[in-house]
Amino acid sequence: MSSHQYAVVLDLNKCIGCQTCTIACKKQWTDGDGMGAMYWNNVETQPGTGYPRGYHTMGGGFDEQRNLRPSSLPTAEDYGVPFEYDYSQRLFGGRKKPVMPDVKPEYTPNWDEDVGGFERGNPYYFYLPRLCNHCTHPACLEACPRGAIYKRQEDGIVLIDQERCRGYRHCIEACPYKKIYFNEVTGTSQKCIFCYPRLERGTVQACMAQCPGRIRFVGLLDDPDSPVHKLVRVHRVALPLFPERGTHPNVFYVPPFSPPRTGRPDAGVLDDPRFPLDYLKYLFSDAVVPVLSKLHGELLKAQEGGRSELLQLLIGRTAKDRFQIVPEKVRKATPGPVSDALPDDPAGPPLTIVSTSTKED
Amino acid sequence: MSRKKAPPQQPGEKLVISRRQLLKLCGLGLSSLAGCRSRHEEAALEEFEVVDFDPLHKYPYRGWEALYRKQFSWDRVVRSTHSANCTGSCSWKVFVKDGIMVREEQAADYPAISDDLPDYNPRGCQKGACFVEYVYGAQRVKYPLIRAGERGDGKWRRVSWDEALDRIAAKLVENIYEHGPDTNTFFTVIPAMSPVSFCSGVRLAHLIGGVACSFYDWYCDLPPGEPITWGVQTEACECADWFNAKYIVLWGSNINETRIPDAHFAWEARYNGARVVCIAPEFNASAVHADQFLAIRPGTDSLLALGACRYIIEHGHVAEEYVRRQTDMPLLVRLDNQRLLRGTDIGWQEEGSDADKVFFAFDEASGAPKAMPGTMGHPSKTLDLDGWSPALEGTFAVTLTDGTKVQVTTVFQQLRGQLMDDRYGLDRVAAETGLTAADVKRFYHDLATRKPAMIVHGAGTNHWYHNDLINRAMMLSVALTGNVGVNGGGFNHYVGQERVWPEHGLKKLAFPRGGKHQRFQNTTLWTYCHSKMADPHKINGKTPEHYILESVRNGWMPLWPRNDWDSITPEQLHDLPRKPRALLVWRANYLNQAKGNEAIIASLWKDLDLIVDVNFRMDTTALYSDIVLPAASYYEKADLSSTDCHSFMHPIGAVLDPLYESKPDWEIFGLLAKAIAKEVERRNLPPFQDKEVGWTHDLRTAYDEWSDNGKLTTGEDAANFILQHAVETKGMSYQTIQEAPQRFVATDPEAWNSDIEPGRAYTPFTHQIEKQRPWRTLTGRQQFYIDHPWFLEFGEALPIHKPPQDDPKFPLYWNTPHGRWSIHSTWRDNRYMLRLQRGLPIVYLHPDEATSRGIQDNDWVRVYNDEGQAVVKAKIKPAEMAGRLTMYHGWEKYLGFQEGGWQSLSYIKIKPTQLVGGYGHLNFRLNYWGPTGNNRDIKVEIERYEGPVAAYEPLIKPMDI
Repeated sequence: MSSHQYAVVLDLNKCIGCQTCTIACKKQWTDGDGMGAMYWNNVETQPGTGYPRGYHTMGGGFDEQRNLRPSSLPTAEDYGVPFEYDYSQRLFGGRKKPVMPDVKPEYTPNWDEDVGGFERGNPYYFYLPRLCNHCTHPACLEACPRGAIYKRQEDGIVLIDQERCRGYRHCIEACPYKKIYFNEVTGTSQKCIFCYPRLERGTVQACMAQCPGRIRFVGLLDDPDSPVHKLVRVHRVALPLFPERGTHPNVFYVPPFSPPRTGRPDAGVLDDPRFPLDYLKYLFSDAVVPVLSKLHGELLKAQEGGRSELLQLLIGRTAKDRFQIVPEKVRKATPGPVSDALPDDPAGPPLTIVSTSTKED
Repeated sequence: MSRKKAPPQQPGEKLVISRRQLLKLCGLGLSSLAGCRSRHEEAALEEFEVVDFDPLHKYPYRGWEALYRKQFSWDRVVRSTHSANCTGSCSWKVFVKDGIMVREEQAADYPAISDDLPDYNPRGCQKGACFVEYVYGAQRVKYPLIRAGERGDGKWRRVSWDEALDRIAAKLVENIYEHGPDTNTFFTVIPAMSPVSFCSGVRLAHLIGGVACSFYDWYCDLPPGEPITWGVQTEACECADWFNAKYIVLWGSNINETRIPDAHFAWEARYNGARVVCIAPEFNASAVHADQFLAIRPGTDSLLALGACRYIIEHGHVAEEYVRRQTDMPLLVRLDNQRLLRGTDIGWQEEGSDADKVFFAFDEASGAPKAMPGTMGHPSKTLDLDGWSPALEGTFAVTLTDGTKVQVTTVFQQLRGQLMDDRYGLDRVAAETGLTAADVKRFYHDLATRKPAMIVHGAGTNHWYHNDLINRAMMLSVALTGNVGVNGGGFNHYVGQERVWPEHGLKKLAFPRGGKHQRFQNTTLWTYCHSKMADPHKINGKTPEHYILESVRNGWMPLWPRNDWDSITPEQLHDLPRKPRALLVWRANYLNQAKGNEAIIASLWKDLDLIVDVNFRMDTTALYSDIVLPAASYYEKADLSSTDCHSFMHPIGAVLDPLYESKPDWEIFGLLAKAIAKEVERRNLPPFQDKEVGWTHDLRTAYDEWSDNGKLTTGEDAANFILQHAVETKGMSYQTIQEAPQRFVATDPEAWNSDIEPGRAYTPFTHQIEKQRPWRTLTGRQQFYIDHPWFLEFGEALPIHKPPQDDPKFPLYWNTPHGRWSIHSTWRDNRYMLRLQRGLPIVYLHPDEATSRGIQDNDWVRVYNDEGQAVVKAKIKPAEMAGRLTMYHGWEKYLGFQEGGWQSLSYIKIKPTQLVGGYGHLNFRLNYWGPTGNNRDIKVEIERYEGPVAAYEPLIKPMDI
């Protein structure tokens, strides 16, 4: 076990499906060669096929005896081929035909956006953002024959050593969330690095910092002061995705409730809900039922004029309330030789905004 | 991340593996793992070097981690933002590395308004997070271009700045002297998103007598109910105020898609005790989180709202004290002619009054009508009734000056009578709106009783033909309950970044000679009349052209260029003797976004001798222009940004100098002013006497006047000018706002209806509610009764429900809402965005509509009506409502359409009540009052498309032009 564990809570009742996290991550880390189809962070509509297509039915993770469970590799099409567009010929070259993607679109990471399900006249869906779970028992780590995947002792971040990875892709198969990607250019497997270069400098991860829905809470799971600890361990309203896959994720979700069905405006959250409970149980296990019940109880209390400590916590008025990034504390837990690997100057280049005014002070 | 291919494994290098992993792998059997790596497997098995570490607990090779740390570095950070009219106005940091803008991230440093209110951070969306793509993208206009083929061909000749500017100047000057300055038309949009760029060209138009076009009404973002009822353009609370609500109705506003930076306030308000209801035909992204979702039948919103008003009245939830003072409900209406009782009717006179604009309520104590203070013609400018309580109901007799007796009643009683009509009863409303009575009742009860309650309103409902009635009905529901003018309450409309906080500074910069010396034009009218496009509907048996001409003749609405209106017949309105000759477009994509696109290309576009587009990207309008001037992008110029969604000012910053040969708009129009002066000099033309606007334009000094004799040469000069000439931004400079967004320090009482107070979210109309200042209407109150003759003619004196304009030929509504993947047409062609959609323009349809037409998901389909067609991809979506098609708006015409474009199916429909003038507060004013370019009532049909489709081809080498 690591000394500390950075963990994340995503409040699905605040997620608006805007994909700012997706682009924040893409522009920060996966904008390079061989990474076009790679979204370390994605947001998918559920119920849906997800990204990569059908990942949640591909297996992986551990069985009850803690053996790796068989799985398969998603195909290139399952990730969606990243389109390019030939604007210059149409706009500047006198070519009359409409601009088309360079390959026929058959799938994208967000192909079934807002499609969801439909039952007895009531459509339903919600948005599920996904990133590497930085599991406490990472199946990817277990599966790597070179031992090139490791869990950092000081903060629990799971990384693939880009120098030692040989691109066997056992990790991709083993991951039940299919959150590892193969880069054909570098010949290595790559995945979310939990923005460790940001965390080390006291800056929250790009997908977390840039989330305008403010659904994301970050901190040490083991620190009683962190919002994550409070939501997961004290209020116990945040659940991992597919817990039965046995990897013990460190990304947790506040499960979603949907508006009641048409014609039943006063129905309770578990009372013939619009969103089928069985599907939520499939995603988050049976534990989702008491959590939804508790959350809805708190919501009703607030709407009747009471004050809910839990919901006040989930409001997260400022970044300080949502993020607890503690580089010094984590650094202290770093084992000796590893500290050499950490940057000498954790301050790095200035984040100060430069004035472009041409006027004298 | 860009790196070389991994080096081949060095000879002799051993694979390492932990003991535990070896055991696991052997137990599992590598061959059970699928994949093409048998060679690797062999290598692995041969070269296993069992090492004694377990990577779950310890890892000895962490030096490589420097790789990603190096990637998280930059040379400098500059604050800027985007100005695409999203209403966001989000402050961003742009990171520069090795002289290249590499990425952007929200600055996330808006100060908190108070400890209780959630702050505005991080403000920005996925589109803002990849704008850099446009800076360096293939759509970028790099050099001045002159058309070398037909308009729209994309064939260009690269020219010098001088050549391009001289060509434009020559034509503008020729028009002024030979055809009249009103043949030069200038179109740009929404000053708040980049006021310096806005003013650059408008100021030039002003100085040469050009026509400045509207945008807010044209794009149907203006909620006409607000000028009608409140006498304002749009007044909304800043979004932090949503948090103060206990009931939020998302009505025609899909905040999770179109208000991305602000949506959190609604969901946080919910955690703070608000109930949220979402009213929309489709189960949309915002409905997902609502406490109640009402899948309303399209076009029945005013019925639902008026049903609510009836419920509020019937169940005793009217806030009577509020309604007596703050609305026109107690005012007396003559039953003989349905006009409000005026001072002139009964010979009322008082010093300093205008008796025709004095209105009365009934004083039961004295048994007589009593003049209400605060009306437009009353000398007393307060709503304070000094203790007396006017009657809300009753019928009374009043003696007119000629001695005749007439019956009068109150507006409230008229309203009550109208609402008691069966159609507004709960069951009828439920049946017609397609909702269940149980849902409607719960909604009505909550709206009537939860306080404060607010409607967050958007384009979903505002784009209907009867948008004025829809607005007025909704506004009535929150006024009757006393919710307007209180924090957390009201009717808050957010469509477009129309509100300019430092308004005085902007006007002074844009119109230095004063607005009365400027030609203004409502663009809806301009486009409709100058194209061969006719709304086939008749209103009261007359064509819209009949009403347009009457309005223009009455001087209610302008229509430039001027014609001899008395000799023009309604039939000639689409082929006028004097037509516009030049059109300059900047900061806008006029053609792509115009309703009636096909008709415009076929007529207006052919009549224009010169079309100029100033742009950083080759959008559809630029593509169909004659001359394209390369503008600096959002990240290459100095400008300002503000919005009605928040109360802060922050800058657009020049992250780098303008790329290629591009220049900031401010410089471009300065150069054009110089070119005009040079042309006039060359032709030795005398000053132009422009009698219509009362000015003599000495164009030889055009640049001197434009630049205020060299005092306004840069964008920063202009930005500082705006900041210095407005009380809202007192003490701010372009420099200080680069440090952090700054909250406005005060409001100009001429332009605003509330103060800005520390610790309090801005909400409109506190001057009226808390200080008893009259509303800006004829009656000085929230005016729900409009007795203009045309309103009476159409039966719209009070808000009523009217169904959408029918078009029985086609079965499906054509719904083109704003969406999450673009801001209008900007980002529509951005590959990062397209990769997260389906790569091509799509139309959404309900499974039943698809099945009955044999359409499968991802098929090519043809959408058509009498106006035109669009061939696009189909996406089947159960959450869509049957009976309509949805295509998110803004798709560029050149992208993926096999035929047509998203506006090929629409045409302009002008509603006569929006043409009125000469009525108290209802007079033409640019972007405040004028016909809206509605587009929701359009009907279409859809079928599978079997025709040819352009090929999916790999990229050809980029054109360097």
